[in-house]
Amino acid sequence: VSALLIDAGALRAVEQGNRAVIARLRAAQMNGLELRTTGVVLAEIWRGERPQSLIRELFRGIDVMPLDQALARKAGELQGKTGTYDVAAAALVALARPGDRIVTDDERRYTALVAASGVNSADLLDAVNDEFGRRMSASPDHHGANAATGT
Amino acid sequence: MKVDKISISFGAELGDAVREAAHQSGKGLSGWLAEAASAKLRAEALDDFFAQWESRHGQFTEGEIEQATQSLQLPQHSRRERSAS
Repeated sequence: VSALLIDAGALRAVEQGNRAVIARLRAAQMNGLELRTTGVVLAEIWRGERPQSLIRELFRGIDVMPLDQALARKAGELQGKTGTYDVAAAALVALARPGDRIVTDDERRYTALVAASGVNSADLLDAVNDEFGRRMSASPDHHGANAATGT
Repeated sequence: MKVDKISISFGAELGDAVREAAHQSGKGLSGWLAEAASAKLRAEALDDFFAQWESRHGQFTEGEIEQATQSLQLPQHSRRERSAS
């Protein structure tokens, strides 16, 4: 089963009520994709303000993978190849299997890591950018979503 | 890790299918069932999350789901399939 890998920026966008991002999670669920992330991403979320109760409900529905030895090694190697120091992003890229997608609000964070992993970034990255957020905010049922949340 | 031992019953046909699937996966019967139970709990939690969210903020339109589906490069679902999910 393929999975939608969710980064901290996307989770924060969910918390802010971003319909475009939440629609992606819903579409993924409807297609039988697992929603997946790593414990490192959750650590990024818990670093800030305590997540709202609804988001904690969402956490219960996400497959949270631990940063075990194998994943840590892959993530470390990716950082080494790219000269980056972003454990959360590297672990998410290292976690990706064929058919998975990463949903993020910050594509630049992943570009070099995805390239180093040997995967075509268009096949793996789903960036929720400003343009998409504005377009979705024009829909009648949209309630003040803003896709760009920053990480 | 603390282990909870649970005795469960299946119909014979389902039991055979579960054993076979567990064998094929190489995870053992307990590991396979634990993984299946975890996936079921996550699926139910997601159902609750989306139901709560849509009750507060409005149901997603077909257009929103189609756009999200396209963005993720996933197969499109019909309205009937969507309401059944």
